[in-house]
Amino acid sequence: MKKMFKKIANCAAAAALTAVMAGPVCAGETIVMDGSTTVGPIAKAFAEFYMRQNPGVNITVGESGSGNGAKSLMNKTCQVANMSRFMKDTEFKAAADTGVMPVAHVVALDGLPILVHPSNAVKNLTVAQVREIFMGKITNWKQVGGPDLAIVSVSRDTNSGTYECFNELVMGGEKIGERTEYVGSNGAIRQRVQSTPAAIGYAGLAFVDDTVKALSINGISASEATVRNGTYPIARPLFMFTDGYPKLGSHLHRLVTLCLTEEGNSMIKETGFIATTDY
Amino acid sequence: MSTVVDAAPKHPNESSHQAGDSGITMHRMKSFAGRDDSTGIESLEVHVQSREFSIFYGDNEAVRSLSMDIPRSRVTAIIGPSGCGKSTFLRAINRMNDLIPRCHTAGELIFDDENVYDPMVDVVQLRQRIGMVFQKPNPFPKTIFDNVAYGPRLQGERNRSRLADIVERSLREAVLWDEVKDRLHDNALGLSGGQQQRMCLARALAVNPEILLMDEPTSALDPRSTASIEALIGQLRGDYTIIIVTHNMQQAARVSDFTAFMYEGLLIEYGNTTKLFTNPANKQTEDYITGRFG
Amino acid sequence: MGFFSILVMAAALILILYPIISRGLSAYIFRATSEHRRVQFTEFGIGSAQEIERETAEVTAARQPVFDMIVAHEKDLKAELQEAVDQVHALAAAEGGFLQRSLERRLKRAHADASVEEYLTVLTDVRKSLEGQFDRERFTDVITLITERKQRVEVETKKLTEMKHALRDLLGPLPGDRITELLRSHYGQTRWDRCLHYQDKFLYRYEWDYSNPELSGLKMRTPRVEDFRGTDLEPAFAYVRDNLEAMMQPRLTLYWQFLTTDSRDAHFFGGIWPEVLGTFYLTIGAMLFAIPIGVIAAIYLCEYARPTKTVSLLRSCISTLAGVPSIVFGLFGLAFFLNTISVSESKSVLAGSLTLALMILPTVIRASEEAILAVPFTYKEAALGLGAGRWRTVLTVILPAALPGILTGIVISMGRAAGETAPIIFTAAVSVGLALSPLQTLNSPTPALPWNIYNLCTEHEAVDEIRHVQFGMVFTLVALVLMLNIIAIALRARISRKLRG
Repeated sequence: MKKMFKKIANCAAAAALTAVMAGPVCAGETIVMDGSTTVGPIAKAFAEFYMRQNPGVNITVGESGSGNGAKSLMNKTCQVANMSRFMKDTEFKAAADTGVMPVAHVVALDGLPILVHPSNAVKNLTVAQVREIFMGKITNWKQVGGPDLAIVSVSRDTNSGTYECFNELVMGGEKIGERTEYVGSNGAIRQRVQSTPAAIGYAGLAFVDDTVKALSINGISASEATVRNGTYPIARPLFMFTDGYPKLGSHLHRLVTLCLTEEGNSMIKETGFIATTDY
Repeated sequence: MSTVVDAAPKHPNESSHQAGDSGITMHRMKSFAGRDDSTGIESLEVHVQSREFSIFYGDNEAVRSLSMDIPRSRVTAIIGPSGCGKSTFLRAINRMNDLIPRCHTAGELIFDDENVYDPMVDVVQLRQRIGMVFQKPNPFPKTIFDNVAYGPRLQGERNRSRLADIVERSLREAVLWDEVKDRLHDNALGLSGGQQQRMCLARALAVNPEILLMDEPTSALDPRSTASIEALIGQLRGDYTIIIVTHNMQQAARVSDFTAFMYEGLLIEYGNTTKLFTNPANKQTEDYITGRFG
Repeated sequence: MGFFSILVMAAALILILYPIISRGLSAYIFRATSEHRRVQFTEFGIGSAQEIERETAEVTAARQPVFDMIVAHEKDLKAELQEAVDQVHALAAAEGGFLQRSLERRLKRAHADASVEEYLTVLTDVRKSLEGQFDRERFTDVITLITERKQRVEVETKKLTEMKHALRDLLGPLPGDRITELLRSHYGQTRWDRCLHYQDKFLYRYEWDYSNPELSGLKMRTPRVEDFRGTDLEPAFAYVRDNLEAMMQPRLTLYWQFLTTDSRDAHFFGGIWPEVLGTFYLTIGAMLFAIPIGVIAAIYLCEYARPTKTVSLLRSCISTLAGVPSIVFGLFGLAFFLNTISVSESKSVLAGSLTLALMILPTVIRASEEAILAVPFTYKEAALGLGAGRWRTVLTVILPAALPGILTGIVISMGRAAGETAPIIFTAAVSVGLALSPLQTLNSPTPALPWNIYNLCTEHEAVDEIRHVQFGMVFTLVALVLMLNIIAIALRARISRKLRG
């Protein structure tokens, strides 16, 4: 019995030693980012870039939704809340109650594309048409110039910042119809749309690839120019919220202002979003 | 004296080729069989005394007002039909009945000038002074060494060589040493039934008890092992007070100095073994002994 | 009947395990291209510099013909525009004065090294300026020429850009490309199967044909070479089709570093070590908390508790807890461990372990209880008879005898703890992070296999690119749990054998 315990103890010690040696012994800072899946690609790219430049820092990126990001910031369990919508006033109130002062940093711009399956002949819809589709008033694609298929509308869940923006900019207060499906992330929207010829959904610009088709809205398609000057109707900024403005020169400060640098700019463009400035 | 030798039923295996080299010679057999018949209980020192001692299982009185003096350094047997309360009484002596939830007692059971059931009594200490061997051999699933050393380790002995000495001494006393001395670190469950029971005996002896309680120790064993256990009892007599509960009247007659007969919780007769078996005072005793009921 | 049911179970197991094993192994054993080896060397320092240099030279030599063809084609396009530019130069010289200066200024950007795009921009600019002239009728010829050339070249340029895009996806950055920040654009395809996929996308153009209004669009496939008939680029396609192996140099590789390296650029490159380590920490942590509490609780319930109503209530609570969905534990962990008592400032392995421990506690308690109750009463009797106190009896006799059963409970719980997602979503798991050192587990979150499998399969921005990583993770998780189970079962068998003699 004793011999076996000794063996186990030895193995455990060896494993622990390997783990200690294998993992970086960072005595440095940890920055926790949490929130939107839309801002996720940007946050992950920034995190990796920053960690490469500053090896002592450990930046972790969570993607549990804009709402959860805000909650985490309020509970002080994260330093940066990635949100694809602005904070609601209830969230501001709750934050102030716990002593957190959320400060918004605009990290990129997104022209919320309306996605359909590539086989769908429809190229353009008006905002009103999109609204009525999601309300359930328009039920068949042939009513808007498409094939004779019943429309399958897919929306993000209510925790999502993308959902809130869509609600505000497109639905304008009207309720989304009962037959709409809800999925939990941008990637899930894309997967649903790319596998269903009759589907329509919305996601972030970074999630558009050649397996889905982005429609032009009111005749305008999302591009750098149209998003920046607001002519694309469903454009929105993407935010990173911090508790107060971070101390100048600190890692946190440099991380959230990365979007203003040339490298940050190029990373945002590469992921597919639109940079706030133009180099 | 010599007639007793013939009267005692001889086991065919009770010859000089006992297991091991410390076998029992005919000489020893003679002294074993040659008990001190004339000595009465009154002239011996009392080791355990029960005074109007009763044991209840809930409302059922299993042992009724039993009063008995058990003498020191002798073998006392308790016999009786099933359910008469003999095991219950035996287990009361070292308070093993505490393990049964609805069991409570009345009266006194005096050991070493103290009531065993006094709330101030340290049960752990008590059980180290009164050892027990059970009906079915119950070695721990450990090595033979660890089994026998269990008691001494409880008492705080850590020194390996001293433990080894104690283990050897106990195993020799139990006449098991020669059979297991080369495999002390094998699992005890690998021994045969008889060997296991002897090992349990060694285990009980290792803590140096004053009294040995034996609850039908050979009822689960084959005749050869039974004989060796009985021979052991004879050897240990004199160094230990032994109280043995047995179903087997002939065994009681073979090994004990004094015998108590219990029936339905009551002590019917208690006295010198030879006298009880050859000339019982009570009719019930006679009926039981002659096999009219059982 | 028994044999049949075993057969059915085996068939189901094979059906489930086969894709996991076959596709999961492809994350470890696959045909890796020169790009893969380049990534390994540049990012992780694996491999020798000479080898990489030699290979890069070979690969570049194989690719050079295609690059040369592209350059030649671009030159042709520029030459077309050059004609228009020369015409404008001539016009400017002829006009003189203010117009000449303004045109020359604009034409300055159309120098020999400028790209086709710059030429086009210049010409657009020039045309606008000419059209804005008061007497533009004089310049109609030039304007027409500019318009015609521009249109043609713009169409050609669009096709060329698409083709270059497809080539970049396959080979990596082309010479003259500006190197951007994201790692994924620094390298071409690292896996041969993806190479074939992108080769197809390079050789063929896929479009949707909406000509028939009655039907949905049809996916049309046209060979891209049709776009470039008669140009310098025409042989490029056959070349790429036939020489891909020389350009990529695929070799069957055992990429065991997949298990031990960090991931780069959101799992585009690299391995899954942080996730594996995270799962390991979480499982061990959960065990560390659950085993002592569970075993002691079981001892209390079996040995010390008196059969009162309170104890029965306690027992039924424990049984109920075993059936609570894991997401409830996750939310409870978030609310209690993080928000209320703040065991750590942020999500952490500590909070995750505590939550997981809570989740597996009922199983451990139940298995331990059964094991302890199964210990023969005779052992306890014997120990007590020798003068052992109750706690000594439990510690020295009952627990060792119950150990096989307790280990069974531990084995079952370990598998569950390693694979559960819901309890760690809110308490410990993040999408991206570094491998933690043991001290950091107290206050840092970590990636973990179950959560990251979900994350990579649904939320990732390029799900199709990293399929092999997804399957690799699944395979690794299954293998990890299997290994943990086997170790524990072997341990239990050894102990059982010892106990039985």
